[in-house]
This record gives sequence, structure tokens and C-alpha cells, in this order.
Amino acid sequence: MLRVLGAAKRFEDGDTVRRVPGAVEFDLAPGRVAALWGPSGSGKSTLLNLVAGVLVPDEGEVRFEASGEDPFLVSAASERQRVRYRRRHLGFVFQFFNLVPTLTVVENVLLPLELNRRPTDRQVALARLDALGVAECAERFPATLSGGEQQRVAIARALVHEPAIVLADEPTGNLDAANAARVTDLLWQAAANAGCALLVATHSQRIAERADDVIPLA
Amino acid sequence: MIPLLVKSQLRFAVRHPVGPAASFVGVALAVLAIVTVHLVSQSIRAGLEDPVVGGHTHIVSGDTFGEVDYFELRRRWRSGDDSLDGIQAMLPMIEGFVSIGGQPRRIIGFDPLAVCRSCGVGEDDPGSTTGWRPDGDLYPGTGLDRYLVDDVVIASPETAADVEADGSTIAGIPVAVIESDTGVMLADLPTAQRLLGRQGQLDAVWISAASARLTFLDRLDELLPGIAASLPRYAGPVIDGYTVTAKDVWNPSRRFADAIVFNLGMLSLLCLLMAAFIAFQASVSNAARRRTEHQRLLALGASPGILQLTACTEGLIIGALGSVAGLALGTLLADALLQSAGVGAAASPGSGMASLDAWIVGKALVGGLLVSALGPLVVRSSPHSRPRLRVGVGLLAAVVAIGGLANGSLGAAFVALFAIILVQVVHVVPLAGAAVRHLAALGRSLTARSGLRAAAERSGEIRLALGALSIAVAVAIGMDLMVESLRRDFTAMLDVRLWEGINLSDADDVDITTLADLPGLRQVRRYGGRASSRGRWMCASPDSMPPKPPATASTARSRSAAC
Ligand SMILES: Nc1ncnc2c1ncn2[C@@H]1O[C@H](COP(=O)(O)OP(=O)(O)O)[C@@H](O)[C@H]1O
Ligand SMILES: [Mg+2]
Repeated sequence: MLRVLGAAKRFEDGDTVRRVPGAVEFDLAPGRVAALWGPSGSGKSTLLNLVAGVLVPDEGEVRFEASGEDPFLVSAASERQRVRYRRRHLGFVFQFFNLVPTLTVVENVLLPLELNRRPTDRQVALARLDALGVAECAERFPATLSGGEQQRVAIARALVHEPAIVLADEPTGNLDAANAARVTDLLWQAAANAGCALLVATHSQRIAERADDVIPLA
Repeated sequence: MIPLLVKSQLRFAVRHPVGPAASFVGVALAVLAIVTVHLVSQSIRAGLEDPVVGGHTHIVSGDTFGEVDYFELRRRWRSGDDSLDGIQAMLPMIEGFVSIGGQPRRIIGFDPLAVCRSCGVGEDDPGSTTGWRPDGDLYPGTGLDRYLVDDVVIASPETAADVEADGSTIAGIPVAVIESDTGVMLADLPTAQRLLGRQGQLDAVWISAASARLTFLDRLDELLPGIAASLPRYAGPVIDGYTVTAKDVWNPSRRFADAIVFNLGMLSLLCLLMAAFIAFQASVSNAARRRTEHQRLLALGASPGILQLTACTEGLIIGALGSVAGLALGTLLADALLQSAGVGAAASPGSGMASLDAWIVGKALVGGLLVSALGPLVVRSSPHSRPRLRVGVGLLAAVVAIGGLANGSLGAAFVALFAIILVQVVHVVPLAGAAVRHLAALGRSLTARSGLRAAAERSGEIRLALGALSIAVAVAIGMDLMVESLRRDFTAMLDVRLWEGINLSDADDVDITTLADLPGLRQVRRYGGRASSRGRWMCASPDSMPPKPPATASTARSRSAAC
């Protein structure tokens, strides 16, 4: 479904030109979980942005193919096409600053539906929040939530529009061990329930080990 | 339009109200300035418009000008002479002063029947006081068309009282006096000629000329009151053998009013510019604060266009609120100004909200909305991301600035000023940010470097400060230009309007003391001002009202009515 062939950005670093990330090649099949595993600075975030079409690679390519749709060459598409692809097929969980601070929790969850111009049914959003155990936070603003609660809301938002892939960038990086384990469980479970693929960027070996595939970055 | 994004934008505005409040105040002030200037200028003009000249655009005169010339012009006009194309009306006139109750009064004589080719005579509607309308009142506001008889003078109430006191005669000629609300007396041509003792003579022919250029200037003037006064003079029709002068040159108090109005108009433009700058800076700082949030939203699949549209929505809401506030306050302010100047009642009969027409409301709203939406629009396609656009805008502005300065007229000077501000904001200010960044590398101590780098990082604030500074300087220069132009036009007006008895043109080599020693002269003065371009001239006040001096030179003739 998703195919990454040596996609990379080139950054000038003094006199030398650095390729970020180094050579990577992988496939992500529907429903699978893959971990981008590497130390800080290895290019995990850059690669996720390339996959999402937020960045355009200087070399290599990113290809996406949903069932029943024409293959889509993310790395060569126009900005408008990439926005539509991202909106429709991807969900995002970031390490921090996930939620829009001026929208309530439930509004944050409804946002992807509205961006996709789909009916915004509060009940759908509340059900998602309930499944993640944060339904009682629905009317609060993100600033009043704990880090763990914020990540759970972010997971609900990443899945609400039934994307094909959820991209998670160090989703537990800001949490203590207990909360991290809990959020990881929830993320895996939610992705499995929704039947969508998961691409997690992490430096943690423990999380990488839980993935179906590990893509090491150096 | 994504409602949730708009909601988020507005909540952000409420949580960080300084920027939006600044934009609101800026827009309200700009609209207030526009509305006030428009209303006040309407009133000033209504007060100064010569009722008879109203609607006439040019004055045709000549070295020796008399009734024969009028007949000649009229014959050529009727026969379709090319050089008289576009002339809609033609009106012979004579102008001078008669003594009533010992006071000199200006009298204008004209031929009420000679107005235009197609208009009706005798319509009974005392229509409006502005504008020439061939299908309307002949002499708007005078009601004259009802009194097309000889020996009638139209005068203001106080003049009328003086005439009554004189036994209902002027210089022994019996006249019926009809009240008019201008200080100028109107009479039909033969009456005026008789009163002035200038039988068979004419001073000029007023014409109403139409051209695309004049129409365009009128439109422009409605948009920016007074702007036409600053542009090169109307290119009037060229008529073989005669001199054609634009109305406002002939009527210097109208020109002075135009100068005031123009300067006020420019001031309101500067306010508008200031408001645009504030709105722009508010969106810049807004965008900087919400950068991470916007990156997240982009990742979620919001397009840059949607984010910009959302920001514009906020701008439009602020603009609409600011415009409404500005409209209301501007109307009140204009009313207060006119009241305190004592012209409120006379000039705008339905004062208050009634004087707001769709045009001014539309102008204010569009101005306010444009200004407030401009910031969000420009921030995304900011010149940073489009160096070519920036260079283009900068070059264009530089060319305009140089052209404006080279032209030298007041309007051009203002245009140049605006262009210079643009160059400042687009080029100089970002360059300053870059310069600080480079300076940082040269800093000796680490603290100095980090301080400079931090300053460069916050070049938004530097830009705000520099931009505000450049606008402040521009306002100062603009004020200076204004005062200078007002002084000049005021002098010109005084030169012409001071009532004196005799003038001599080209009087550079005349010895004033010799003149002053002449018997019967009270005062002799040398005048500069506007006339200097045609040679200096001189006025002398005789002890008593003299008969109209015979005109000897063209300059003297064209001044004779006023001097
Ligand atoms: N805009 C950029 N300009 C220059 N270098 C960058 C830029 N973005 C990322 N990099 C470099 O790419 C490398 C990888 O960054 P990142 O993808 O954030 O790594 P990770 O997420 O694995 O920590 C970093 O060393 C960083 O220096
Ligand atoms: Mg990272």
C-alpha cells in the first residue's frame, strides 16, 4: 500500500551535503505496524514528513496505493494533490503540541471530518473518545489535559476519519514509562480495531519490538 | 471555509486581543478619517460653490473681449466648429463691484437665455445647488429662471436691506431685489452692464465642457475628495484666438477649499495606510505565534489556502466592525465640526445620518475591509517566499517615487511618499533584519552575538518599529507638504480676494513711493503670490469707489473682477 524507495532530503551541512534519512526502502501493507527505529537525528521525522507529502524528497520516491484506486506518486504530486492525499488517507500523532489549543477536545476530534467535508457527528467523536477512556474530557480545552490524556485524544483524532495509515512521531516521547506503555497499548489496539496501518517513529527499542516490521535508521 | 478553523481563529483572537484590537482601532480610525473628510469636504464645497459658476468648467476670455466675441463663439459653436466640441453650455458674463450703502458688492451679470442648446427655460423647480444639469434648473439655487426680466438683482438679505435703504435703487437705477443666500449679487447682463457702467462689454464666457478626462477626474475626485486639485490643471478645450481658464483657477476660494480638502484626503489616506500596516503586523505576529499550530494543521490536511482564508475571515470581521464604528464616529465628528464652524445647518440641510449616501458608506466599507483583509492576504504570499515579486514591487515603487518627486506637484509628492513607504517596508526593513544577522557573526563576546542573533530572529519587531518610524516620518513630511500648499493657496486667495481698486500688471519696475504720493490713493501694495508667474503686479486702494478701470492688459483684465 505504501512504498518508500530511498526517499530523502538533502541538507547542506557546511561544505558537505547530508542525506536525511540514509538509504531506506520499505513497504507497508494494510493493517501492518512498522517502526522507524533510530536515534535522535537519524531522520525519522523527516521521513514521516516525506511520507505525508509535507516535504518533497530531493531524491527517491514515495508511492501510495489504496485498494481500488490508482497508484499515487506522493513525491511527484502537486501541493493540492498532496493536501488531499494527506487529508483523506493519513492520520497523525505527534510527540507534543498535538491538539489545536483553541478548540475543545471534541472539536479537535471532529476537525479531520470537517476538513474532509464529511458530516461532523458528535456521537462518533464521543464514541472514539470513550474507547480511549477520555470521554469525560470532551468539553475541555487541551491545555487542561495531562500529557497522557492529550495523546489519547490525538489518537482518537488520528483515527476518526478512518485513514489508511496512521503516522506517529515519538507518540510516547513526552510521557513517563507507565503512561507510555498505556498509550502504546491504546494506539496499537485502536489501529488494529480500525484496520489501518501504523507507521511509528521511535528511538525506543521496547516500542520497536512490538512492531510487525522494524526499519532501522542510522 | 471550515467552521471549526474559523472558531479556533476567533477564540485565538479573543485570547490574544492586542493584535485584533489594534487592527480594529486602526480600521475604525481610517474609516472615521475617510467619512469625516468626505462629509466636511461636501459641506465646504457646497458653501464655496459660486451658484452661477456651478456646473461650469471653464472660462473663455481674450485680450480684448466683448459682446462681438461672444456672438462669434456662439456662431462657431452652433455651426459645429471642431474646437468647440464637447461644450455643453455657454454663458456670457460680466463681473465687477457696485457700491451699495457705501460698501462694495460683487455683482455678476449674465444672460439667462444663453445657457445651452437643449435645455428648457422656466422650469419652476428650485433644484440642488451643485452640478450643471441641462435638464434641470437653469441657475441652480437661484430660482432665477422665474425672473427673466430686466432690472432685477438677486442679492443676499443684508445686501437687499442696504438696497432698500438706498431707496430701492443701485446707482440711481431702480431695481427689484430678490433675496439669494450667496454674498454675490446676480443680475441679467444688461442690468449688470448698466450698473457697472460698461455697456456692451463682457468679461468672459463661461462654458460647460465635457470630456472623458473631466469625467474621469470627477470620478476620481469623488473617490478621493480634492485629488483633482493636485493634479495638473484640467486640459480645457483649446479655442482659437481665446484664452481658456479652468474654473478653479478663476475662483481661488474654491481652489483653496480644494487644497484643504485634498490635504485632508491625503491625511485620511495616511490613516488608511497606517491601519493597513497595523493589520499587516498583527497578522505577522499572529502567524508567528501560531506557526507550530499551523504546521500541525497542514499535516492534518488543511490546505495553506484554507488557513489563509480563515485568517482573512477574522480580518473581514474586524474590518466590518471597525468600518461600522468608523462610519458612526465619522458622521458624529463631521457633524460636530460643521456645527462648531457654524455651517452645519446651511450646508447640509439634512445633517446627521441623512448626509451619508450609499457612495460614502460603500467607500468606507470597502476601504476598511480591504485594509483589514490585506494583512492576512499578504502574510502568506509574503515577499520572503517570492523574491521576484518583492523585487518587482520594490522597483515599481522606486520608479513611482522618483517620478513623483521629479513631477513636483503636490499630488505627485504624496504619491512619491507612499511609494517610498512601500520601498521601506518591502526592502529596507527586511535588509535591516539581514544586516543584524550578519553583524551577529562579528560580535566579539558570545553574549553580544547571541543578543544580536536574538534581535535578528525577532526581526518582526524590528520591522514593526522601522515601519512605524517610516510612516511617522512620512506623516511629518506629508504635514509639511500640506502646510506649505495651504499657505501658498491661501496667499493666492488673499491676493485675489482682497478688494482693491486698481491694479497694475508687470509692475516690477514701478516705484511704489511715487505711486503712493499720487492724490486720492490710500494704500499701495506690491503683490507676489500666484501672479508672480506672469510678472508682479500691484493693487492700489483709492479713497472712494472708482468706476471700473479700463482694462489695459490681459493680466489686469483677468484680475479686474476681483481686484
Ligand atoms: N530544515 C532543515 N535544515 C537542515 N537540516 C535539517 C532540517 N530538518 C532536519 N534536518 C537535519 O536532519 C536530521 C534529521 O532530523 P529529524 O528528521 O528531525 O531526526 P529525528 O526525528 O530522527 O530526530 C537532523 O540531524 C537535522 O539536523
Ligand atoms: Mg523527530
